[in-house]
Amino acid sequence: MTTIYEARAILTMNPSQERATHVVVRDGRILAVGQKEAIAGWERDFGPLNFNDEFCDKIMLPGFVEGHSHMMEGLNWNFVYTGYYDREDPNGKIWKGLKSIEEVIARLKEENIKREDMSEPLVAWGFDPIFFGDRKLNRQDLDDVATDCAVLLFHASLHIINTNSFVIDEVGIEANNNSDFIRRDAQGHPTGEFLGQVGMFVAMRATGINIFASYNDDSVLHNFAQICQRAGVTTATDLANNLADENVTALRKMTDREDYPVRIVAALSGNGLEAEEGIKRLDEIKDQQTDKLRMNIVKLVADGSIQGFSARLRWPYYHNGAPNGLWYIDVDKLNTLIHDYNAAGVHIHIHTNGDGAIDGALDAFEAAFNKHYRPNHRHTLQHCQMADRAHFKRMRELGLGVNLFSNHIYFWGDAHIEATMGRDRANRLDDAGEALRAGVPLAIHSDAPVTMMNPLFTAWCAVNRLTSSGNHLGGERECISVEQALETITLGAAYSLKMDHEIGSIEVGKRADFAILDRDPIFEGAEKLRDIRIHATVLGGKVFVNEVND
Amino acid sequence: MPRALKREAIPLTIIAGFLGSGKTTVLNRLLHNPEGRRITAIVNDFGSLNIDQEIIAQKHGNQISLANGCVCCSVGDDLTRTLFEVLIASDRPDHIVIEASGVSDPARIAAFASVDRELRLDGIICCIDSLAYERQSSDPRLEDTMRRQIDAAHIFLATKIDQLTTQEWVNFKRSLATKNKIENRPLIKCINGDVPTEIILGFHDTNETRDKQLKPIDHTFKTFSGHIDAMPSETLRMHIMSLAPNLIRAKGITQDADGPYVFNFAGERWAVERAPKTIPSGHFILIGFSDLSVEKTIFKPYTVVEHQH
Repeated sequence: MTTIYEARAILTMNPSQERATHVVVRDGRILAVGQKEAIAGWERDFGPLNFNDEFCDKIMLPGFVEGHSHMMEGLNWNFVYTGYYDREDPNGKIWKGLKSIEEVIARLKEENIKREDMSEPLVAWGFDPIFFGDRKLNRQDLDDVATDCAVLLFHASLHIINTNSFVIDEVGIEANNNSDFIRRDAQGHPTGEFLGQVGMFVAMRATGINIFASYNDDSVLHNFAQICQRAGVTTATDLANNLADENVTALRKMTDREDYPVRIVAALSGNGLEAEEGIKRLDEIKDQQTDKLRMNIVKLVADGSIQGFSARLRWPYYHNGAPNGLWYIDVDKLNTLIHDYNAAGVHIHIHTNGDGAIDGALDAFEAAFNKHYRPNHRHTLQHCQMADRAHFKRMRELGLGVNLFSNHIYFWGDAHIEATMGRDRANRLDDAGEALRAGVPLAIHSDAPVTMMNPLFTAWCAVNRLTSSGNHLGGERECISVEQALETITLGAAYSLKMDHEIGSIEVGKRADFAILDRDPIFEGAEKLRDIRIHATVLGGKVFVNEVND
Repeated sequence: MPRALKREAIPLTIIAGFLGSGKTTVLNRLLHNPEGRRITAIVNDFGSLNIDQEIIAQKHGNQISLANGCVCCSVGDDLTRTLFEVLIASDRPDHIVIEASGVSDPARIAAFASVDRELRLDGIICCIDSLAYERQSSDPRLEDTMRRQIDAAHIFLATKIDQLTTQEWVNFKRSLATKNKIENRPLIKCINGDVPTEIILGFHDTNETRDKQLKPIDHTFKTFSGHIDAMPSETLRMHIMSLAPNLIRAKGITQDADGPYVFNFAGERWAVERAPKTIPSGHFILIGFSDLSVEKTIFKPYTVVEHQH
């Protein structure tokens, strides 16, 4: 079947024809793009056309590409959202942001009584006490919610957890221990807050289950796809998956379904493997790939997060004097892994938040390229938030791409000014302007579930560089234009995944993946970019309309 | 979902140190000489462990079972989950050893034992490559990680010392002490991982401290075992601390007004826990350097094993 779609405007991301009104789709791919005048010619050349005018008052863009997200976004929606900012769930329901600890407790109580099995643990996520001043949440607060089951409240960072007394009694906390990872009150009693890996361990030991083992459930992949669809995303990454047989099976099972609305790019989590094992694993699963499932990237993690003070900074380190974050991987091993994967032709994405970690990754790539230079390697630095001009120039010299965490500007920009790096370094946080000037291939991302997946919002962040309190990070120089931002969330991210020849723009021969917007982002302009609603997506010519639910 | 958590705590030993510092060699030797303990070792990577094929009983997924009862699990990239799975397995080990990754802060791993009554932190052993120490401790990319590993450790193993001259050994010790607050924490020379199991893991159980006929375990160490009177744990702690810096490990059982308690000492770490009233109390075992002496102390040995160099 050959279908011709009409839209009020099609923003193609093809510089030879920036705008069009009609696109012809056959077998899931784009047969022709153009203006109304071309229709007669198309009918002659391509035979009878099936007209679809359901988008005739909408704006069509290439489907957005989320180059750094995690399937955990889908898992989290099986739990209670308790974040500070409004967030849309897979069904389109907006969960209001909670502006005080009292509001958090009220939501937990409300959700607790709705549950069928009250002995199951009550799990919540997204809690971000950075906004609540000196008022700390403690075990008594959560005892108000429930005393006969575990209450587990994960912070937005996922690296801290608060629990109720039930949990503390279950696991048995050692008295008189001054561990930095167990928060205690003035009397030395645990407050129920645990930091780092210990938090996850407490959660598992108190409940007897690995809460995160349900990663492969249909509901998780379904939720994730709904989140993508509502954000206009037609290709999304699961950027660190161990790609064990059961994971690959689960990914195949769902993405093979014709009604699964998103292409998934799952990257192999490489930190715990030797390069030899990773290369072997990617080779073993290579034939399991489909049009809707790619598994051809290795993901490495060099350091932690800036707001968690676990990113690896270089001198003068953290603004507030916090101890520097440690490497997440031995420097020697990092060098070896990058060398070996590069030599084997494997596509590498590496998490580097702090400027110290960026230095380390650049050194490793430079050494690797001195041995084996591979054209078109597409190796990409992920997050790369503290990169300065010298870093971007070095990236260009090495041919590296960058995927910046632009949402950070809004959500943690104020914290970066106050606590983590100070105003001067924060001014160039996630400096998309400099990346483009230096000629470094650019993508921008949400890191969902760390922040909400919404590429138009991410674009808004890169264009406006406003923090949640209205501070500007930097000036004009660091901002990019709306046009540049739109290209970045489509072709830019597609390039970073080595998929820009098949997705990312509306051009003849490419896949018919579209995002259908209510309004025209170019006419709406920089300020309103984030307010535009996604009406529908199209994946390989199949339409997925978002229900209105608010 | 209530669970029984009333079982005896499993001791947890952490072996820390940089990549290439000799952790794997130490672990390998431990697994081949567990001295009757069923050790579960959580390691970064089987490949480098090099376990003799003839002692491997079974390989299954990320786990290798040895004929001597020890088990080796590879951690992948999720230590938390691996440790959780070891603890919920039906077959409980006598001792858990975690090989920390070369970049981790062992204090973070030690915190697992503080939030789980089924785990007891035995000690943190830090391997230091004596050949590479000077370079590593002055490399800005590495020095803070190394400092944190050294800060957290209770016992140090100086590895590759067979490749040092006497003067280099003196320089190494001086540099280590200048850059860190080592104080009374023992620094043990280690060649090819050859350190007595008792030093790495402590003594197995309190019964052995009375019954086991000790053999000379190494030429640079000395062990004492004997009777100890009832006393408050704080008093005992003072007596144990007075044996520093020559004492490396101590274990025993005695009692105070509330009943019997077990004490454990590793390097500088002191820990006591209540013991069931049925356990016979009043004995201790110590291991230290050859200069360790218990003359004129409360420790009345009935066995002394010593092998002068």
